Amino acid sequence: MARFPPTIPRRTRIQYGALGLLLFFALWWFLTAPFFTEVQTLREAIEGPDGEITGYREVKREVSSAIVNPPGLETPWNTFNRAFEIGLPQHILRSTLRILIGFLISTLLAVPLGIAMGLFPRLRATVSPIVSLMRPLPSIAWVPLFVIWFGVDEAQKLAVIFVGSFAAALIYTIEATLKVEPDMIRAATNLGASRRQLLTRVLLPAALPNIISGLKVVLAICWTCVISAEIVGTQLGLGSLIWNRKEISDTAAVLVGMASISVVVLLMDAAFGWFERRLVPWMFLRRDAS
Amino acid sequence: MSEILLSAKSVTQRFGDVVALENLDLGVKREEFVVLVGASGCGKSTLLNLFAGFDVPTEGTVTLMGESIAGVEPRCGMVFQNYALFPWLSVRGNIGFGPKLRGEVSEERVTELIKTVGIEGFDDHYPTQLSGGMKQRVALARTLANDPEVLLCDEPFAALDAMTRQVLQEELSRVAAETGKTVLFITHSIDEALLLSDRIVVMTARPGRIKSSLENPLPRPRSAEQQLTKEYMDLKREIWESVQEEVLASIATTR
Repeated sequence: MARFPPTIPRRTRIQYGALGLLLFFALWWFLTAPFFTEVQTLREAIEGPDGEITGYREVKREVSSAIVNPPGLETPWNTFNRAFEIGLPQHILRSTLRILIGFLISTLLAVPLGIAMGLFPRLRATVSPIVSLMRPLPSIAWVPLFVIWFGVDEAQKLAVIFVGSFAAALIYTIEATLKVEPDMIRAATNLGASRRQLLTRVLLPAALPNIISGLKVVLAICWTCVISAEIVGTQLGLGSLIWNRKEISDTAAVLVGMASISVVVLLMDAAFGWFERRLVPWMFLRRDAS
Repeated sequence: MSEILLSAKSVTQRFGDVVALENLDLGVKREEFVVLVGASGCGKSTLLNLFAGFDVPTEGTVTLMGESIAGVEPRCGMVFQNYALFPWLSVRGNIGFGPKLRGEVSEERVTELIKTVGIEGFDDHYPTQLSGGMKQRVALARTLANDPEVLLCDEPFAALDAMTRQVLQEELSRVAAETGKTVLFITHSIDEALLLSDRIVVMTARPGRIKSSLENPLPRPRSAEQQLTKEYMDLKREIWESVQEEVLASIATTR
């Protein structure tokens, strides 16, 4: 192999990507399309002139059938159309709002504390064990406790998002702070920077790129949290949508809800990337001079 | 030319059980270009850190113009091996960093320094867009912007390719002569030491002390051709023999 790792041109990559999606939907369609007909024998009531049932007769009827039939799975087209019948925008809006608020609270507390923990080893040593205990807990494990404490309203949702994302945001910030190149700090000190100037003019911009890429991951973690949180006590939100629709075996709505989560996460990630390029533009430069 | 600008007197530096420097004496005269050579781990960088005020000696004193260096000393400007530029600032921003901290913004001074180190036309580039050689030029200009008394150079060209290194060595000689800066320069390379120095100081293996000090008689301006002369070869052999003993000693102790 002359080139490792092997690569292909962007255009080819897109073509194969499209092919992959096409195959996926083709398989789905193949499994759910009504290729077969089944003869079903039904008992039909024989009605008298006044609508009273006078007897029954057997009727044979041809019914179309697929390899997988509803409610197991509907055709791609029927599933897609379900998106317009279940008030999707409200669900998306509500979950997104919860996430943004939870993420904001988490970030506003975790970033300053994380920087302080990066700078003060004693503080770091004190807080780290608590964080280490909190971090392995999946967000869903917090749900019962918060239902007892906060009920099933918004407070419970935000609390789950907060505890699920805070530890990660904190750890990413600490790591970003510790990763600042020591010589950069020494150079700034040598050039006459005061402690305050070191913090605002060197440490913050130096740690910012890693903090931001950490927060990008945290934002995705917030989504897993909100889906856990919406298991109880709400009719609105993408999590609620899929949990509630499950009860009536509305597979199409569950799938639409899941796909929406995917799409919204991808869109949010792209939006975050847009902010990133504006906040730390120097990380996106290419070397063009020698 | 005879005034001692920078000096270390009976300096001992310990880090826990490790004695990095022991009873070291060194004086650097105003406008002198002193190059320190020695085996790796002999405490060359430790000594530079003391002059910059990053560390305080365990025993003895380090002084600048007769005053004891206590705390970070901005009059001893440091040039780092890995450049230590600020990637979020443009070339101009990096060079003006020191003056700006004090509220002095002089765009003309920055432009002048850009000319001094030969990076015209790259004013608005960012460090990630520059090659290693260009980065080190920016770093040198950034240090010069503070108009320090002494330039402390910690193997500044070690990460550069051989050809870029040679160009920068000649540039540094020129800049040091033009600006009349006193320079204390660390290197592993005897060729680099011979090309740059007024005086070469060889350090012993750990614990670091001054082993020998040798005035460099090679006439200036110096160039690569001089490296073929007998005088150059003899000097190189003399220094190499002195350094080699310490390298062997250092290998023996670390084995």
